[in-house]
Amino acid sequence: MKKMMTAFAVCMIAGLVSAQVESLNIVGYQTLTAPGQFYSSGSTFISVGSATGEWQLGDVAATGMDPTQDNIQFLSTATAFPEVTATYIDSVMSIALVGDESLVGWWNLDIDTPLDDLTFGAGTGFLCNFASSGVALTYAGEVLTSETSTLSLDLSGMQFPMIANFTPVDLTLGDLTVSGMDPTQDNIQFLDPATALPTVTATYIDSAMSIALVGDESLVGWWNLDIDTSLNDTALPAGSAVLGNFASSGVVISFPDPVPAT
Amino acid sequence: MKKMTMIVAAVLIAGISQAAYVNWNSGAIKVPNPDGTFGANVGSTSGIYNALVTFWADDGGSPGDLVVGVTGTSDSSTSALSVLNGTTAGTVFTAGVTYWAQIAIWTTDGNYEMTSAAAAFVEAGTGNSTLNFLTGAGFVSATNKLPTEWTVVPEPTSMALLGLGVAALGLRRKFRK
Repeated sequence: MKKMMTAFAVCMIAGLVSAQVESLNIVGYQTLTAPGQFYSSGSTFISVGSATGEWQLGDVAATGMDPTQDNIQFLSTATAFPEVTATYIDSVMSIALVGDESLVGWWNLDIDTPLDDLTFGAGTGFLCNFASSGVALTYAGEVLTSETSTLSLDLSGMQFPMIANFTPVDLTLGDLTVSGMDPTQDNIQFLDPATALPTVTATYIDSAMSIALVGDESLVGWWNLDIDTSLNDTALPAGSAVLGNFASSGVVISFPDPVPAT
Repeated sequence: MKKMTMIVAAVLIAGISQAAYVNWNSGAIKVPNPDGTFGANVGSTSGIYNALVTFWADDGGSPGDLVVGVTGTSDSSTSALSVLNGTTAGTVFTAGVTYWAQIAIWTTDGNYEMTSAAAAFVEAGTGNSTLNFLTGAGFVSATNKLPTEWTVVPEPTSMALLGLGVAALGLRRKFRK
């Protein structure tokens, strides 16, 4: 049964989605294997039945994580320093530790505070630190859709948001549209999974800026910082994330609705 | 829930925050007028404008030691945004640490130059920091870092004539005595 509502989510850490949500209750799961130690990721679903377009850490399952050496970190949007660090105990580890599965789930590093109930807005990303190889994250839930053709992330006031492709569909930067970015001081950074250092840095020129620069909209899109190489074709796979660096205070990034309107 | 001391006693989990580089940006450069005031944006013109960015460590709230290995970054091209920009390489800036930066811009013909104030910034916890010397974006203070006009560099010929004039005055005084 369709339900139509306006969702406006305010989360503990970061990630703000403002969207007209029409829940078609398309549910599923997706397993992504970390390509390196410092994998930037985020959930590709929201919690089933979520009226606010949010997901919980407990919606994510991990395999291959060693709680003594692996963790994920949610970064402060003000400083880009880790703000919340979580590790995961799977079934095998839980049985080995206590003889049953009571410990399965997300924990703080001291394993004395469960973190499954931490709630985040769609599009909130995190930075992994996996000394173990082959760690896989399984995201499960409901596909976030919209009455319109886009889903917008309002990143106002956030200087360093981790922005995830929160759809279960592989995208490119050219699929995203942006408002409020100043190409002289705002950018997004793809972090190298091997080093966590930036590899690709991209900025966006919107219609107004393009017209101001060249008199038409030919520059609209994603560019390198020299504005001489288009980055529209840069891949943004499902569940991958980038680190924003926004001096401007009103950046909004819009993703395409993964479910075409009927 | 049991606190798993066995796990806690194991190897410390390293944090992710680490050093990175700095993306710097001059902000829109404007063509110098003969009196040093600003004209229109320079546009995409390579090789006419140059920039050098210098970094220092913080010394109790003022610039201290030069950041080893980084004397600055020069960039003689401008983008459609009329800016000079670059990314530091070779020296990694430590996350959370305060540094100072200053930009000097000059025209290749040597007629005009401008130098910003030295400004403090804190390297981002993750990823590169971004500094805009015009708007102050990325710095601890948002005060405009670049001056409001170009400095007109005296021509060598003028300097020479000035020097001859001073010398002539000295000779006249000598012969009068």
